[in-house]
Amino acid sequence: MIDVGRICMKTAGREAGKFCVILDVLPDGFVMVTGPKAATRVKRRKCNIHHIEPTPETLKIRKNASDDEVIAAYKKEGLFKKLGVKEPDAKDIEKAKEDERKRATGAKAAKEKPKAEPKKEKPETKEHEPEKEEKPEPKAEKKQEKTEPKSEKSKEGPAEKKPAVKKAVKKKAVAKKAPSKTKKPEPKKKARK
Amino acid sequence: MPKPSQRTRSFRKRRVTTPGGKVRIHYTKKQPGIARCAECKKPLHGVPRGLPAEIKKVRKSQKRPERAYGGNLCASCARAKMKAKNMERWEND
Repeated sequence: MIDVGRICMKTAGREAGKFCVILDVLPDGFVMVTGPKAATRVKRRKCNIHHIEPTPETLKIRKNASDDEVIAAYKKEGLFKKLGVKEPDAKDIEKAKEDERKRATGAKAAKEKPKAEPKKEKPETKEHEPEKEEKPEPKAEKKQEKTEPKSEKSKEGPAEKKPAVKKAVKKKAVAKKAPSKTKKPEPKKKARK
Repeated sequence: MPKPSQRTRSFRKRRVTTPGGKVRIHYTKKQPGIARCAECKKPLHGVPRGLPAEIKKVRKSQKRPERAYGGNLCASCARAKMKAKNMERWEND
């Protein structure tokens, strides 16, 4: 009964009560099985023969056929209606493929994590070096800028007067602020008394 | 005297000796029974036991096995039932 292309019902595990197709017969009483997942939600996996119940239906498929080939074979035999399984749309097929991809990429990412860290460190060091080179350049420019206006100010008379005016303004501002500071503590002292 | 709300048979009475040597009665809610298989009456695995309020907080996937007949039949009974259904289905063909 158990041969490639036989449709079976799974009787154990989370996929119990769902139909699957045998893809390959393995040694030690095991079997390769698929729903496919897009159709009956049974994923491609190794399975014990004792966890499977064969049915009289068969599909004409080659050994280890792909999910697309299995779905095409289902359609040829008209088995989706007979089994009471919903025919998978393009959406269902894409979803099943995406799930597989995610699992594959997730497992790979988990393995590659330790390798990725040292790679990150190298570019960081490279980034620092150019920054150091860049930093001194703007400093030199700033120095040049600072020196230039000073020389201009020393040469020109009005440039020297302007900062003096500003200082006077600052002094006035300080004078305005000072009384306000002195006024505030006075009422507090009165309150204490 | 217990509270009026505690004077029902759904409360379990527990005798507690106090530090002073006296015996007092504590009233606690009775625990629900263990979940059992509907066919063979064996206790089910993977089904938590607790008051309804406690079990409400548990996630659905933690309340029963995620299998067909999970939480109702034990694994062996479920498998037997599935096989029988499969046989019935193809008898007429």
